[in-house]
Amino acid sequence: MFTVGCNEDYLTLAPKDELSEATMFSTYDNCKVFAWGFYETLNPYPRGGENNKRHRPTIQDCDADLLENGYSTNGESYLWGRENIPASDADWTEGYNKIRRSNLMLDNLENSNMTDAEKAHWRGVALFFRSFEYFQLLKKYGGVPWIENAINEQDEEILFGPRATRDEVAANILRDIQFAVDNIKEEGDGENTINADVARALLSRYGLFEGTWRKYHGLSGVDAYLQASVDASSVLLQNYPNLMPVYDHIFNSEDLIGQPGIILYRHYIQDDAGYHIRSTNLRSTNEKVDITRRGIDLFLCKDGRTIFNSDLYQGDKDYYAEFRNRDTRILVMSPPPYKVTSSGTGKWSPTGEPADAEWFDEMVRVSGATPDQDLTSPYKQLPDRNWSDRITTEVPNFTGLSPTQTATGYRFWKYFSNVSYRTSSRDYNDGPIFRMGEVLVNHAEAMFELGRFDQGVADATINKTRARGEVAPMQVGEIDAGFDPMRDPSVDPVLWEIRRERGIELLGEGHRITDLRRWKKMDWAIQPKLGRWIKQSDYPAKVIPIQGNAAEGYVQLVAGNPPAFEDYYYLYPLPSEEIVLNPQLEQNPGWK
Amino acid sequence: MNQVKLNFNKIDMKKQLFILILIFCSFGGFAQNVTVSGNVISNEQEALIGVTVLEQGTTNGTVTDLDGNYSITVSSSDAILVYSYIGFESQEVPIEGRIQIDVVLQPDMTNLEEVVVVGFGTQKKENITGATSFVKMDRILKDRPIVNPAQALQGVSAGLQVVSNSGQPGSTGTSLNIRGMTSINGGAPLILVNNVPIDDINDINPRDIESVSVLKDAAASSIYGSRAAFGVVLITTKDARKNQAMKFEYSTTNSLSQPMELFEKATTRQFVEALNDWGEYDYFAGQVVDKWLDYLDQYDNDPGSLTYVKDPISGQNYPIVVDPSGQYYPLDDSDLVGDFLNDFGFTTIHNFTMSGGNERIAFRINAGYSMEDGVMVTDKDKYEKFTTNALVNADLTQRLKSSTQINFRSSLRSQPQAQYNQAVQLRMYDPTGHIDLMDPTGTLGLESSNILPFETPGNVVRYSEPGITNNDNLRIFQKLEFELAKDLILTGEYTFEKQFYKFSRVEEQTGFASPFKFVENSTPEQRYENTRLYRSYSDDKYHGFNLYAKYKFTTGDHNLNFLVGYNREKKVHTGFNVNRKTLISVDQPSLNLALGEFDGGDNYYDWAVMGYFGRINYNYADKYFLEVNGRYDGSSSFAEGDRFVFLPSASAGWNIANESFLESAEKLSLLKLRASWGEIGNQLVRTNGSRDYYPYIAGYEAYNPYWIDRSLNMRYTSFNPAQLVSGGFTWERVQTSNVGLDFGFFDGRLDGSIDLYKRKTIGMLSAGIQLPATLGTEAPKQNIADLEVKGWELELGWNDRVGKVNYGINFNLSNNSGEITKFLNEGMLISNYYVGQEIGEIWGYVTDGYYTVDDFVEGTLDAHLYGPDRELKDGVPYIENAPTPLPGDVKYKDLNGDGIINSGNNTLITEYDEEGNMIPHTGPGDRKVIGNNSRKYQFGINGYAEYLGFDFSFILSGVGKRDLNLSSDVIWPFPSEFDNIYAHQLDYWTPDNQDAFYPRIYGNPEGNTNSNYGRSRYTQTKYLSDGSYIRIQNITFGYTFPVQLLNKIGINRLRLFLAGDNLVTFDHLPKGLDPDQSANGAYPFMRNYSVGLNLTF
Repeated sequence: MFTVGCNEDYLTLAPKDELSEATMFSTYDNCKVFAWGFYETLNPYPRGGENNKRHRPTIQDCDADLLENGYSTNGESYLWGRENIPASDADWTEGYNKIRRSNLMLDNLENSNMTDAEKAHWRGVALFFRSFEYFQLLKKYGGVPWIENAINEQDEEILFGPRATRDEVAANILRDIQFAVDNIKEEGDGENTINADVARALLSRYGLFEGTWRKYHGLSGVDAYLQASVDASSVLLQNYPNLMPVYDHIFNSEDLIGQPGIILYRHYIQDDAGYHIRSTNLRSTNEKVDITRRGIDLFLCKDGRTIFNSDLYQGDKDYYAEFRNRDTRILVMSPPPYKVTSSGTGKWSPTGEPADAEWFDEMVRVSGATPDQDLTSPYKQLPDRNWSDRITTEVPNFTGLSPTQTATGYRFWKYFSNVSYRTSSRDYNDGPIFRMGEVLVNHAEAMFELGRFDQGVADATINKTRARGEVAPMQVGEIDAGFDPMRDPSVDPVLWEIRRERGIELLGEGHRITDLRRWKKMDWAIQPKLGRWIKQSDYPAKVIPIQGNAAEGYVQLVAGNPPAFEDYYYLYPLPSEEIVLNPQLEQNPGWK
Repeated sequence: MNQVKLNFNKIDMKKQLFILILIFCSFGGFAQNVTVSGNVISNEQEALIGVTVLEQGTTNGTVTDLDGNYSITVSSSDAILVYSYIGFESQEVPIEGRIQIDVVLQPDMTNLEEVVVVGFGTQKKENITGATSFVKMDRILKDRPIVNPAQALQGVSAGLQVVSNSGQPGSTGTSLNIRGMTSINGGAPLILVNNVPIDDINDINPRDIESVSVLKDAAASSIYGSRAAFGVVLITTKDARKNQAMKFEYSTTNSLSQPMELFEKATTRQFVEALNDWGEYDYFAGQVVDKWLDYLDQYDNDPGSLTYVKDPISGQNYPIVVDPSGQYYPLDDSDLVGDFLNDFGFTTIHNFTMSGGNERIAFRINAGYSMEDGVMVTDKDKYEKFTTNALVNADLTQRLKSSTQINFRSSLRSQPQAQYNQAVQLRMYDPTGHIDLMDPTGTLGLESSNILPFETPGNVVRYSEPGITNNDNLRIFQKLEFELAKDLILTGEYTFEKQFYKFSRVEEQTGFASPFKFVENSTPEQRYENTRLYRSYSDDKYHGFNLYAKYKFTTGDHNLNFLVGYNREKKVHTGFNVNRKTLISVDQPSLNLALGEFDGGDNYYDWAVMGYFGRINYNYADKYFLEVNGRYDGSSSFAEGDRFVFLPSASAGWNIANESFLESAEKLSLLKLRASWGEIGNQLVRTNGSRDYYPYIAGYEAYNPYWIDRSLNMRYTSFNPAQLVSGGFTWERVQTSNVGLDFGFFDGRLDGSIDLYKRKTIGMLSAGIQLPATLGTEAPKQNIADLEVKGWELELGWNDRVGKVNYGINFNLSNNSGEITKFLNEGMLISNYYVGQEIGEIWGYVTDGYYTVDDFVEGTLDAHLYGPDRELKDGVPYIENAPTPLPGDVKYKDLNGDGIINSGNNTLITEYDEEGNMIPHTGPGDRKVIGNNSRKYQFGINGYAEYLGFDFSFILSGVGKRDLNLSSDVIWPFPSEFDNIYAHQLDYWTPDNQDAFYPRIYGNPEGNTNSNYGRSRYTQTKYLSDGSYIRIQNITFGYTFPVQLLNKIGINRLRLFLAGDNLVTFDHLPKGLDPDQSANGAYPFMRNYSVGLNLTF
């Protein structure tokens, strides 16, 4: 105790619960432990930042044409040309943080004690996740600085370097995903982990994105990307011949383990902060998203024809009739009309008027739910309910229970799940990350863009997803210029139908805004967004805005027409602080 | 003649000698005629031992005994007796033939001779050259119902800032700061108890504290080195004195408490009318506003016509109706807060002390118990603390002294799962009590029912278990002093401390009904499954060791003191936590008696410091003073080679009053100029806000990512990449320069000091440079940022006696401001520190009123001053990329004159082109610094008066200037649809009230979050809050019974008192918000009313 001295040992202390960089990547199992940290980025139902658009794919799609934010009175700033250049941008910052995480693994694999195959596997996994991040950056900003290795503060040439071109970034991503496809173990690292098929699914998505972006934005090198997408999708078509039979089950099941057509999903649990609040949001005033007229009109009638020329279509003036004979996925997207009585306690009874209950049986048939008042199955059934299971007594619900109100008449309820019955704010139904539904429509579109779309491809792709909506198969030969009189004439009639199926199958999953941008079709979204046909006199308690201030007509929430969509808006602005820090970083043209 | 015992400790050598002579004389026994005896007590009615009683003009004298009694034989009945005692004013009493003379001595108001505690020793207050404040605890603590000693220090010392953020029993949220911003990495004063650092000041019983010294500049604190960079709060506990009769003291304080202030919500009707004014048709909980207003009218006019929801327990109706669709319409206010904070809180403090000593051993043993029961309903909101402090001082040999101190603190904190902010956030009409969910109105007469309490804070407290925290801290201190040679003393001190923390909470998942949606919040099955037991434990071990030698050397008027020493400290923390779900029985919470998976983790850290120190102290004739300190310190926070730092400091003083040329200035008793400079190191490194113990080691830390292992259905474990670490970073250096003046006038009745200081924190660890985000992580830390704080402090005291009234008033005032003097932020981004930034500055817009009809092109607004086609007139500024504003939206001043309101590119530098035109989107846009949130002009005032047995004292404290940028719903009405409206928020803009305080508010959620109202709520001049205040912290009245009366019943002293604490705060904030609690909903501060007694026997 009384030893006095300059004892350095006394001051040499080290943490006992941390690993060094050398040990972190020394073995296969250590790499695996590190790799679990990559997965968090894959989050179909993100919970963080509930009011932050970047965490909410459905809200992002309100910037496109098929959905509308029901709270909107001023319109989306992206559509109305009112975007500010942000000082900082979490998409940028977090993207590069995650890229660094991948680069650390990539840089350290060589020094580890693994076999070459094992190293290649982890290289593939790290590249898969790095590509995932670069893909997000490319999608948002175009060419960005390319960081190939983990860097430190002394790497000034890289840190203060210019943006890589779009060509470079795009080619690198393609190269890296291809490596992942070729080297990641077919079986991955266990149930629901990154395997070769997951990498293929990313390639299917990415190749289509970049190929069509280049095509419609006048860049070269289209086919290589489309071909990569087609190649990846083709393998997946063989490996995943079946789809989950019930569309609603993809999004609202408690567990997606072993389900056909599900390539990767996120499993949520009720505890340990492992839950989400996707369904709660949808059933609370946190979210009020509606399908637009344009979105509803996309759904075909069961005969495979559009509403403009199908005999089955009964018009949009009668609430009850509008959904009759349509693609049944429309019921999963928006609650069909009904009326019930309820005491406000979560219990309900029929009104006694048969017409008010027309859709009850059809709804449970389509969603595969077990009909009962206590919602023992998580799938959709009528009536609609809010987050605390209060009953919505009438749909369309313009003036009733406000958390399930609609602004335009077609409430978007795709993610309504009852898995967390009454424990609101703790949903734990699984969310699909890569699923065959997307791969099929990717494949159809890429094949068309390559000029190889035919009836065979249609049967292998679109007709599979259409079957789930009980719609007659597409007959490619029947599609001519008159098939949809409302078609944008600049789009080939068959491609129009392929894009229609994509719009329906992926509605509200955050793809639409990207689709319009890569097709260079944001013009579709700056047309006035309309809703249901209503009579103001039916709603004496509330003024509902109707197109042209008419007494009867389509709901139009945001008055006026947005200005013409500026070309430079197709890419988002880089955060201004990054440009201040690195003068070599050039802002996207047009933004100032 | 009594056996005389003297306490030599505090009496200088001359006096000792003198007294010895006196004693010799009295033993000698002169044959005289008159014998006078009597008793000497203090003004506080305490018997004084060892008072010198001298016959004036002679050397004949005696001293008082243990009970204050004396007897002296004098030469004549005309003699005059002189009573003198250190710390008290001498008294001359003519005998005038009496044989019994009892005397009350009054304390000496001048404290010039006072000896105070400084680093590793004591010094005459008069001779101190560093910037130091002293606080006698008895004077400021009095009998306040304070359990945490830190709170007692609020407002008592210039430059020491004490801020609490919660009034909850057992709250640990009290922070101390000396002289403003310390470092961008944080840093707090070092708190020492008897020379040894203590982590939790709460371990000390306030009643054990004798005095507190606040060492503010580097010269004063540097002797403590490594951890003392930002000042030292030196606590000295009450000592044990030798040659004392056994003494027992008991004191108690009992108080009732109530919240100082609570929020005042608007009424239900005001709320609904406001919704209507804002165009909200449907409230989020389902009510249709029109219908709601109709019900409110009906309720006012014909309440019998409505059917109400009934409380099945009390049988009372709630003022809530259910419409045919099952929608609930609340119509009147409930008393949510009253149901929650339903009664007075209660605090009781008991202290029992035994002390005594003989010639070689002295002891003091204190046992303290305190219990605070907060204002929440039931006694679950509670803090209990038990402390013991045993001190034994012993002279082992002539030259070897020992001091042993054992402190033990055991506390129990019970914290309900309901928080005050929940009561604040619930709406004014949300019901308390219970509901029958099967038959809410009680009209169905059903036999089976489902009765549940509403989930209100009151019910949550009643029906669920609180979290229980136990702290058991043991501290053992051993000191040995060995006199190696004359005036050369070697001291060894060793402290061992063990802190044991235990937490336990059962999440019971009680069934509740929602107070606004009226359904059961969960099913019984879910509640069962989700019951959970949380347990956590941690254990801290601390070893502190000091070894130092002191040598005193005097020749003529030259006095020299030398000190050299060695210090080392180490702390090891280990802990773990575990939880498990699905308890078999909540009444028997055990991890073993649960069904779910185990979940948990552990944690570990340790740190160590060591250092060598030395001090030379020179004093010439009490006129010229010089002190030099040096310290060589090492810390485990830095890599080998960067670990050690040498830290010098020096101070000098000149007591001008002792110069011969000022001897004629009799009114002047002290005039001392002081100057000091010193450097101390700061080793505190923070990463992401919390302390990083190994900042130079790049380690991969484990965490649980949100990805589920399907074989276990639990989260995987993974690791976060290490932060970048740059070599060569080391201590931050803190340099303080200080000049001061101490003065005393009128025999010291007026005294005070002024200090001016500058403190530079140099080489603050910060991300070396702000790097582009492409780096992918934070830039490594380097010693690259500098901060400079300048400030001044003033302390003034007046202490006097007029007749039998002793009184005094003390005042302190201080101010400082900090500025960043070096920081790598070449882009001058406002979002980061930048050179020239004043600490606390608030950037914002300048409010220019509201948009009015005059700002719009005529005919573009409708009758409601609305309109989709509205158009601003040319030249009226508007916010960039925003929807066209409406009348009633806040208009901002266009500071840069470009006609558009924006935030530029968030930098300081506005750029101009060749022609001198501003380049758009550069600089701060239309923002400027509009305020500062630092506490400026902090002050404290305390005073006392004593007359016979009566005493009175008070303490005030406050802040002179402070801007607060608050944005909660207490500041802004209805910032989101889930928020409330308060009584002070009803003055909002409507077309009929365009002169309102608050801008136009929109009913729908987008309107309030994404839109014009959101833009009206930018940080701006008009809505900055004034954070200045004065708080009456304490007023005490006491009465001490005359000792003559008490002696008969064997009591030495008895005092009764009444006190009020936190009586009122004068501030400028809305009701319910305290300037020290900037977040709304923090547990309110308590106003306390106390009674108690002090008893000595």
